[in-house]
Amino acid sequence: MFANLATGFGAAVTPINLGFCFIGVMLGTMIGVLPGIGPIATIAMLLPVTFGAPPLGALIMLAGIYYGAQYGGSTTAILVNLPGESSSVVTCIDGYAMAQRGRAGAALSIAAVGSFFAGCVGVLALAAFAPILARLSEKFLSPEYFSLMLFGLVAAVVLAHGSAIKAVAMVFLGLLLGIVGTDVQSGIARYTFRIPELLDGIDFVPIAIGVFGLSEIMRNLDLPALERQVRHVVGSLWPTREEIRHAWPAVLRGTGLGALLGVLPGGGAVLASFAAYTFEKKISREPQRFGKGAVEGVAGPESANNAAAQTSFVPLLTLGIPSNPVMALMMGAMVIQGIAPGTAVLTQRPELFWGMTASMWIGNLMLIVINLPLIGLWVKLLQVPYRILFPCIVVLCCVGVYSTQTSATLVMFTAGFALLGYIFLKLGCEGAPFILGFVLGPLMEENLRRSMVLSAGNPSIFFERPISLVLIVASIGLVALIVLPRVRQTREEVFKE
Amino acid sequence: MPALTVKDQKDFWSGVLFIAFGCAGLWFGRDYLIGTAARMGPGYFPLMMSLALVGIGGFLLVRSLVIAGEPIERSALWPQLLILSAIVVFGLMIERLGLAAAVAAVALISSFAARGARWFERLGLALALSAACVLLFVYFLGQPIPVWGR
Repeated sequence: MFANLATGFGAAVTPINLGFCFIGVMLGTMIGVLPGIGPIATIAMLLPVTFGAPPLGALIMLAGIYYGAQYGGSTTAILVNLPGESSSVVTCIDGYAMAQRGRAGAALSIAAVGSFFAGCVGVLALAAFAPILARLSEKFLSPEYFSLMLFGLVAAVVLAHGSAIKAVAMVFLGLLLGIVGTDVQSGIARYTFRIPELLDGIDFVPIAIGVFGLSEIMRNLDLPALERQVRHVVGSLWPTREEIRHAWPAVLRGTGLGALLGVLPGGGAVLASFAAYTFEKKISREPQRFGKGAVEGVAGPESANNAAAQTSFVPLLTLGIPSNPVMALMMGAMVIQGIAPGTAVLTQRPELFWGMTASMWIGNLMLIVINLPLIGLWVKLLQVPYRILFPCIVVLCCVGVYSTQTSATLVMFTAGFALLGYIFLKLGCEGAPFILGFVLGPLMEENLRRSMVLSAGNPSIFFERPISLVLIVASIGLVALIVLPRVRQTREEVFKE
Repeated sequence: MPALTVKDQKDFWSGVLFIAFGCAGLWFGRDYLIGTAARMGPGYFPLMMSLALVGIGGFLLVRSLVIAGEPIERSALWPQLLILSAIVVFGLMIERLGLAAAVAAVALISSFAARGARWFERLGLALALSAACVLLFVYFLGQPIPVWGR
């Protein structure tokens, strides 16, 4: 592993890749700080920009945006009581309470140091887990892949925030839109309506930008303008000894929990931070301190979301299955660069995998260095009013989509998907299961067909092969989890907080 | 028996949406060969997905008549229309009039979606964004986008 990491550092520590890494984490922090724009929209907007870049540099930058956003999100949560990022929603609770008591500086530095520690552990976990999973996946044939995707989609449904039944429908809708285009086996064009742009399937960029970027802006414009004043002084960055005593065990627990939840399909930074907060509150001897500025309530979730951001790359890079919407976008970026996500990355392009892993560690180091000293800059950035910000985002989305294939038709699609995404938001239908279904649609159909050819149409093939059986049983277990009333209650509680 | 009224607006309209997509899938996919489980044709998977959508949509529709839920948040409509039309205008302008004009138009139109901006602010933003996009995409990234139209 360490020899491999050395290769990785060799690939990542070139002036150009360090540059990509720096741009990625800076952009990530920036959009993390700004409420109303998240890593999903940003990565979607920047996908076209990465066309011209070398593959490793492009992936390093996009990854940097994701984990950089985890650092930035906490700043807004603590200083303004608004989640800069959906993964820092819970940080608002105790982080802002600390700011009200004049301990904003301490909360910020604990969040940053906790994130850094978690990031380092997350990178090591990625380096350790990935080769093991990759070896396991050599045994995978179509039935295993089908069951694995089923498990991933079931997990995405179970972990969706709102109504589970709507999430199921969103998966089916995603799968249906995913198979638009020429059918590989028969050569028949399906649902293409004689539009040449649809022959290769609906382009990923307009969907991602429409459903995740523009629809979010449209919804924000429904709400009254957000108050974004930084009212409390940042104060000393140094935590007191008492605060450190409370914080470090929470950092360790958050890191462990986050690293684990990141690997699970359907998991990722958002889930990890929620879980870590609930966990800290449950095991605390003085749960009444939570909500009033408990350091653990900042340290735990902030470590967890960063650890999860790193380890959620594991399923994508080893099995070729994205576990959350950000990973679906990374998958899109890899395909655009001509890299097949999955085991092949590790075996055929080791410099790519290890270079990315190494760059994440470097990126975390850059983040801790740029985050705390630049806190003044981030506070300034927060004062840019939304009425200036959102036209910039709309412009970037339009130009970004157009430049992917220099096609005005794609821009029109984007408008359509923005409207669809807005309707989804209004109706409480989640985008995450939809986009996962969309990305997995063609793969799932392909593997289902192949499995059925193998078994002459007998579905028992999924239960006869051990790995596939385990995955199916795990999927059924997850479904049982949400159907059982007691667990359902806890699930709702977790998401309510 | 109580009168049939929609008690959950969100569920009701989600149901309508899913049924609409499912029916579209069935209708436009009606000519695709379905095949058998062992030899699935191009129509098999879309048929399953469409039926599932219609099924869940129907369930949501029925449930919305029985179980009460939250109302849909109000839409502001005007900003939404402006954003959507800004994107469409960009699509119409980009090939004929070029990047500089299209970007300025998008920025200007979408800036009307928020209240409180002044005229010079809007114009300044449009000009600045137009210049920035031309520099970034055409000169820096070398994308083959016409700057001034054909």
